[in-house]
Amino acid sequence: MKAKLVVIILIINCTAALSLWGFFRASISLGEWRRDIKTRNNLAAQAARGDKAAGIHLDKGILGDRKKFESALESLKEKYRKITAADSLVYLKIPEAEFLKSFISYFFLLNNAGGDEVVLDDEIVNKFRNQGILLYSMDKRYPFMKKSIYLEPRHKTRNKPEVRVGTNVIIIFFESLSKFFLRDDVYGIKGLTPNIKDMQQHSYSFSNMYNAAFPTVKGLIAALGSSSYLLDENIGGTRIRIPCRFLFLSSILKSLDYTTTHIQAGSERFIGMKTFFTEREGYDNFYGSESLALKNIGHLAEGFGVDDTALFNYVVDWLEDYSSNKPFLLTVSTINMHPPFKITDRNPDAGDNDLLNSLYSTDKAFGRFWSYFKKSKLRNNTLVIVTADHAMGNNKDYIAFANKYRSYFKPFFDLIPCFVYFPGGAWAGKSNDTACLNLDIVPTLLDMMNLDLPNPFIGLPIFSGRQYYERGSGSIFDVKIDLDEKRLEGERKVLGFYFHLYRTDRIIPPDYKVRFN
Amino acid sequence: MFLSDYKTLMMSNRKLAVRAVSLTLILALYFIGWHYTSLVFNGSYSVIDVSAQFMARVFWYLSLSVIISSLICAVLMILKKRIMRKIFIGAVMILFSGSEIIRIFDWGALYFGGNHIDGNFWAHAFYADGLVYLVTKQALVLYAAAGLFFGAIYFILKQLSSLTNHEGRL
Repeated sequence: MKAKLVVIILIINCTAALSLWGFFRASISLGEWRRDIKTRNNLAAQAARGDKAAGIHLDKGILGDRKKFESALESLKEKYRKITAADSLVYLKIPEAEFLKSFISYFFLLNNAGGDEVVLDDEIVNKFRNQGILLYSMDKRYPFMKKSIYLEPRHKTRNKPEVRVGTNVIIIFFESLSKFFLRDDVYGIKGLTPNIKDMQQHSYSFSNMYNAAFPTVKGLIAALGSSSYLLDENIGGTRIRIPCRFLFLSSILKSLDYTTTHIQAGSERFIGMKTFFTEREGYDNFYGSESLALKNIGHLAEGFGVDDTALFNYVVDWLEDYSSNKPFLLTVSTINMHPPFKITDRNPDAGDNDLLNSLYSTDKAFGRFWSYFKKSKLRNNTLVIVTADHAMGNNKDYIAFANKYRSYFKPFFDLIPCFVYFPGGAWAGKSNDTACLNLDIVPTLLDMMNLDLPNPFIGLPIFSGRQYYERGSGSIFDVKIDLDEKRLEGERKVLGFYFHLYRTDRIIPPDYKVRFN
Repeated sequence: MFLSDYKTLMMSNRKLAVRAVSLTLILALYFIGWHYTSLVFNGSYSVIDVSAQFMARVFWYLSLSVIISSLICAVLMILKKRIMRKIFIGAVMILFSGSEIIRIFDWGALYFGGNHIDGNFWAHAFYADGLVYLVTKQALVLYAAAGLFFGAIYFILKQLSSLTNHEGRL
């Protein structure tokens, strides 16, 4: 009897499920049909207007008309992107499976991933070499260590801006500032970044720089240590410290009697940043939101840390109070453009778009520093670099905003600004369009200072070598899961190689001392 | 004769059949609704853009709902002791709550972070500032939806339990 009843329930359930499936199928078909009708009507309307450009029917008339051709090309690109992009399917993955996969890989697999030492074979080493990364050239145990910042000394050039050793250095990392956000000529909202643009006008620009890493901690390691760090996911919260040491710009400049300070709007505790900077990378001072909040309790709002207004006020105060005769390295990291976005000022043209208003707020906060700097004596003996920690991530506000500008929508890895103000405003308005990564910032700065030393850098001086090693955009360590077996094996090997280096602290030798060539 | 047996049995267990179907449909709505709302509110794509994959997912969830619902009914019919039935319903609700919690966080991760729960999520998960997402308007709506589904499933399970407990009906 019970078995019969179970069969009945099963049949009824199946019938109900089939009905529901039919309902979904019918709704989808109806939607597709309506879309087809709409598309057909649009095409008919365009044909009636004699405007075929929005379609994909390229004829000789369109080829002769630059505007129509560009429009048709854009339409083609859009269709192609929709066909090839896999990101839409992210919403159809099963959440429980994603949760379990990430949980297991985060808490178990990554912890054990760096178990055995991996020695890369010649094929992979040559592949790295072709990308401008020299391995096993000095010390087999520290594969990244090499004798010089130049792979080929003959590539060293004198045709570059030069910076005197002893010049103060300020590097400002804007949170998630993809270069697209400065392209008001594309998105049409003027006046969102007047201060950053003013700084750009007074500066030398590296106009073709991409970020090599995401998120912030990896971005800072890439920019300040010219290195990659792939174990970021494994240093969750404040629990696990970054297990290895990189050669940061701070350690190099400290050997030249600089004082080194980092100020950020985010927390000092998050992923053990303060400990990492002060104990591992030789920073003298580190101020995060905990330090800044003491002065700015009112600025502790929703989201990470204090806002950028409090940050740049703190930076200006710090600069005003700096009384040492030693030159300084000051690195600054903003926060406003980190979701959920901090907004302290609103631009009427940005409407209620939180992302754009946070950009405007960041710029306004930066303006406090920039106007102070331009009037202070520092402008004649300080180099200022403005860049981003990484490109904007794939959050809903960015999607909503950049949706209209598909060819510029590049979440996570994209062009980032890199403006360098030289003391006295030298080189203002000049630019360099060599394809480069933020990994190249430190080697380039050392090149401009005419300093050379044994190092584990992955980056190269932009003026003296980068142009020979094109890497293109995006992370060079972007490991794809869906590879064929042979490539997957190669990727696994490289990943294992990296993980083992980090876990066993083998980026630079423990007794490494900065000694210039 | 053979079919009339089934017909009689079905007629005398109409309420049970209706509850079983309700359970199937609510489960299906719960599973499919997550992806549908995720696409509508989070994605730059519409459901039509991914219709083939969406329908494949719908089929998978409908099958899953049929299996889960039928299994629950079967187990409730087999279990005789009241305490065992309670334990079974408790276990089902715990599993369902687990799924709800995961789906709340994953929906939020997609909405606020543009990606599923991943290493980056775990890196922020135990950090106080990340907790701001738990009190956003979107989070409150998710809690309410999860509460509704929880209530509905619990209500149906209780009814199924009392209906299958009726010796006379079997």
